[in-house]
Amino acid sequence: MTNLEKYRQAFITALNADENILDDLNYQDIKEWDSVGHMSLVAELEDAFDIEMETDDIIDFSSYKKGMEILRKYHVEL
Amino acid sequence: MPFGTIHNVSLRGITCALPDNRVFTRERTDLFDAEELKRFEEGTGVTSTCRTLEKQLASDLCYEAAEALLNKLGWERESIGALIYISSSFDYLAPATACVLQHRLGLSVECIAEDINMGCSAYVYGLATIGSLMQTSDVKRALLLCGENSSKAVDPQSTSGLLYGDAGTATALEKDERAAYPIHYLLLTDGNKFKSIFARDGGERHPHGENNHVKTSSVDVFAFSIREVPKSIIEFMERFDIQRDDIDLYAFYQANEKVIGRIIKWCKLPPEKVPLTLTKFGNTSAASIPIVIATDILNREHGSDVHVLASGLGVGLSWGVADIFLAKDMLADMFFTRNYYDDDNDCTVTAP
Repeated sequence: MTNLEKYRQAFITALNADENILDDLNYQDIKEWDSVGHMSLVAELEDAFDIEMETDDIIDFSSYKKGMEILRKYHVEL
Repeated sequence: MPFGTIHNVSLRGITCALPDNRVFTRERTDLFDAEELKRFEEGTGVTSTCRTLEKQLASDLCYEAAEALLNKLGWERESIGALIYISSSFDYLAPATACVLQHRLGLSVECIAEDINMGCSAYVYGLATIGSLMQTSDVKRALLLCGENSSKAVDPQSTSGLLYGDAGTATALEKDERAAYPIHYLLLTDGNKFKSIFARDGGERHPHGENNHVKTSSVDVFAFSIREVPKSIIEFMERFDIQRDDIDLYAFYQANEKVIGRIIKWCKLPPEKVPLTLTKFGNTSAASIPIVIATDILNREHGSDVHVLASGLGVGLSWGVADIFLAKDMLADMFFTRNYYDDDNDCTVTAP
């Protein structure tokens, strides 16, 4: 599985999100991406990429696209 | 920073009364679909909550907890010099619920009785307030009652309706010249976030509105929880020179499993010393921390003192940290009740 596939799979697993809407998905666009879903998503991503995200990055992770930017800080190229 | 130290006050007992009405998350299919319930349970860790019966209030649960505690301790009612009731759930617009509880418990007119309006930070604020009162007065024994009836305050169709449980607790404190260790505290408030957990209507500003359910801005509260709580815990431990190994029990407010997981991670705490009670009881707000402490004491083998570090964050937004030393003979109890107060007949009634 490529990094991009892993990234997308985390959204599908944690938020039950439809793959077709991922590219434009923002925090709270769907009811599953609330604060509870957010923590599940962060946990999925940390497991998938073996990283530990900083508090500010977890809070700034406001969209699918923003998340890609943040993961680069952890040397995860998507 | 508002750090404080209270000398010569010891905790003698904690009792917790839960409504005799346990509701399992997975069974709430009347309002939520099964997939949503599964996701909620996995995301928060809450598998069940105890919800008040139709006529039961937070003060009824606190009353039952206090009655049981006073009887177990064998304390004369006249010996209680102060009662503080902390909650977001009050019996009437006036008077303070503490006055009603003073009457129901048969306490003396020389017992100070007052309310404080707070949520998840209640216990830490309560210990600081009642301890300070005891230290500066003739009060020798006091009761701190922390309870919540959130299931009736939140929108039952929102996920908050699944998260919150109800409970009432009583903590007995006594002046103790031989107390081996003081109570330390740190209290903080960010009123700029007063709308983050908000029940807009029903007060004097909006008396006739219909938005009287408590609404939570999960973004604000979530960000605050994972940013401010770990920071404050670390500042507190540094200020009072407390090492991680010194603490036997970390009693945290029960927001959700993953938020607590983050606090454990960032504060580098031993997870086995951070118990979760939200699994069974949900987020019981003001009652959460005493429930964690009582549960731990009941599960612990007797024979050792317990050094507790407590922290809670909630409506306000307000948050705080405290550490307390519990002697090995401190009482702890937990029970279920169907009792409530019939104010027309001034008596306690058991619901069928």
